[in-house]
Amino acid sequence: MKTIEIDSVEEAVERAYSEGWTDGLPVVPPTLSLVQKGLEYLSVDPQESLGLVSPKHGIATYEKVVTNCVMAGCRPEHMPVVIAALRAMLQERFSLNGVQATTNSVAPLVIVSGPVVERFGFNSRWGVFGGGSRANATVGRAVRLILWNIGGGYPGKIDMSTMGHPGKYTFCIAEDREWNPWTPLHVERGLAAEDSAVTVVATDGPHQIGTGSGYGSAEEVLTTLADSMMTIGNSTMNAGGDMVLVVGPMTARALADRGYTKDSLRLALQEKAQKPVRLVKQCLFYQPSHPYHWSHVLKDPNDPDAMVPLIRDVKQLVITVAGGMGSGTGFCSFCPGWHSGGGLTCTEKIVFPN
Amino acid sequence: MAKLVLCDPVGEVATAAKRSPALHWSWDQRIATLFNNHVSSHRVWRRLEELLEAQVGAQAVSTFAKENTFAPAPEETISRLLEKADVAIVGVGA
Repeated sequence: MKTIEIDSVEEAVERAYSEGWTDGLPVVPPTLSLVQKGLEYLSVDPQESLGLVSPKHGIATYEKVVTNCVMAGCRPEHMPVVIAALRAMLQERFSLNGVQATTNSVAPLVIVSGPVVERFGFNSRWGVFGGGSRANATVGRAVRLILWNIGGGYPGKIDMSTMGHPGKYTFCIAEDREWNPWTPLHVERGLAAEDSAVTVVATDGPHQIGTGSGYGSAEEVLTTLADSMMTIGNSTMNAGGDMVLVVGPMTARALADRGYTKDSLRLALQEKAQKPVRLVKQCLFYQPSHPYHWSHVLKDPNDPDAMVPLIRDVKQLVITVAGGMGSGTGFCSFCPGWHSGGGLTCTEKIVFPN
Repeated sequence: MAKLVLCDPVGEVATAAKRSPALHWSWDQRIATLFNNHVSSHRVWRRLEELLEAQVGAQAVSTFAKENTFAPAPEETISRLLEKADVAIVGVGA
């Protein structure tokens, strides 16, 4: 283990900057004792590798992963959640190399679901994308520091994201178990209800949608959601791929009371979230020759009245329930994804040490 | 005062990039292009292929494409490329 001896906490904080260990925010000094506590909790071989983190192909040994978790402020028990997120990001279909290097602004959104949400105090309610919970903040932060220190996602060098977004500091939400009237996300993804899991999708930052679900009909809510999701400059509209709709609990309840399930909501939004060719073709984000271009999913892409779907396949719309109760405004959030070739939804069960 | 011992969080790199040796090159070799399909490089690649075809004739240029910009080309694509070309141009653009 490569170590550095220093004299004080103040020096440790500054040393993290001078060594390039952080992306701008201060970090908890990764002392040997804190790292050893994490490794002891996990009961793992420190040199065992979880895989290579692109694009630098850094070796994600448990020792390095735990060190980054410590810097993020994780308690040892949070570390299995981070490890599940890392395993998910290392799945081939996530295409982490591209997610880390693209000129697009996407970042891996970590969605935690299952009993671990209450067990560790993940915030799944008010301000779910914001601050307020150590679990959300530090798990998301650890993921980012791993992508930085092991993956080498340095802006302007390897990470060529032209805009980026604040989720590149920390980007972790949790699905609410009590207020979710539908099937939990990880159960949809093939795990048991009593399991806890992490689902990752590479997305833009959240775009708030005031649905008016406390006042309007299901038809009005669905129209509002669909129209807010299908902006012609977003990546998913142009090039397909997965996307995340975070349905606030009031909107979820309103739709569930009217008989909607996650599956029927997906179908309804697929039908409504379509724009005419004459409008969509004005965005030249993707060239028509590109295999992901929207024209390839139409019978006649030259027909100006043909409709371009945002949701090419209902499986591409990830739906989770989170956020706080509020007024009848019924807030939701939409996170467009990257494209058909990467950043796709990956789920891993959280495995705790015996 | 006791010293603080900090652990280095930076991951060791598994494979260091190596520069390929200079290739022997002549215009009578069969040429392939392996287009990476990056959204920003479609026009560049089409122009590159036009220039190559003008130089050596369209028959001498084989074009291939990856569907996923960010993943290595499938083995099957590489096998077909090797059958048709002596040299390949890859990685232009993003």
